[in-house]
Amino acid sequence: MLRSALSKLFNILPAQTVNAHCDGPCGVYDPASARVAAEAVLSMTKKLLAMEAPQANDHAAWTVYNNTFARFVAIKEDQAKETKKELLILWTDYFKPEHLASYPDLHDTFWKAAKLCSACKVGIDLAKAEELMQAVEKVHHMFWKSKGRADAWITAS
Amino acid sequence: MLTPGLQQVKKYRLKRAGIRSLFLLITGFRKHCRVEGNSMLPTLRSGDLVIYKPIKPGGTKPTPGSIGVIKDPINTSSLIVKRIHKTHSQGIELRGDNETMSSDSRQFGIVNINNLCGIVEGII
Repeated sequence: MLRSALSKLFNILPAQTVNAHCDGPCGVYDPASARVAAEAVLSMTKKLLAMEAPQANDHAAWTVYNNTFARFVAIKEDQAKETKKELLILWTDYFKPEHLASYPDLHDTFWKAAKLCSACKVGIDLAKAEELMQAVEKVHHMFWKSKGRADAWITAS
Repeated sequence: MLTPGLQQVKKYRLKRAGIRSLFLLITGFRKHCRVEGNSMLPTLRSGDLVIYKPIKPGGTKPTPGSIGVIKDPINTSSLIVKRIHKTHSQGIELRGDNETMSSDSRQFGIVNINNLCGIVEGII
């Protein structure tokens, strides 16, 4: 009874907090963020490759063309960086050393995927953009399998 | 749950703090603190009040498997609570019981032994 009373008393009184850190307060990770960004990279790459240059002496058309081209490039580069950021979060924060037992190629997969992000940012290469999507799909399956789930790979476009 | 392929440490279970521990707390020979976060689940839940035996810097070497209250190596003004996974000559290796969620020595490396403030004895 005395123990119970003392326990209640200590629980009421303020106490210093001691952190039991987690990676995030919520622990919410999802490769969908990387997938959406990678899809944007692929989409912008396709749009850039599909652009047709106007006639050489059409100044107004060149202005529109250059503006559109620059905007597409900016979005492609931004989304490539976003894809890399999201992949690195999964690689360094979600996946732990024990996952290597199930996925021996985990580091290689993420390293190559991050390299593809850089390649897609620098160039306008449809093959690289498609490779990036395949790499993100591989990460998607590794991630959900590690959680004991088999979520389907669904793209927005 | 044991993870195949990884060396496991004996995880000492925590008991409810007895009347003796509470008496030592009142008299200042023990300290207490409240757990915040889920990295020590299922042993410690967020909100648990724990009692710990303070350790002077350079004092007793901790037993692997015990739970320590440690100065956060990233932000030394705050304390963290983790399982002492291994002891090394350079310091101690920390691990959260909730291994897939915990941020511990796998991220911030081996922690200086002088960061160890105490050993958890029980839950109040």
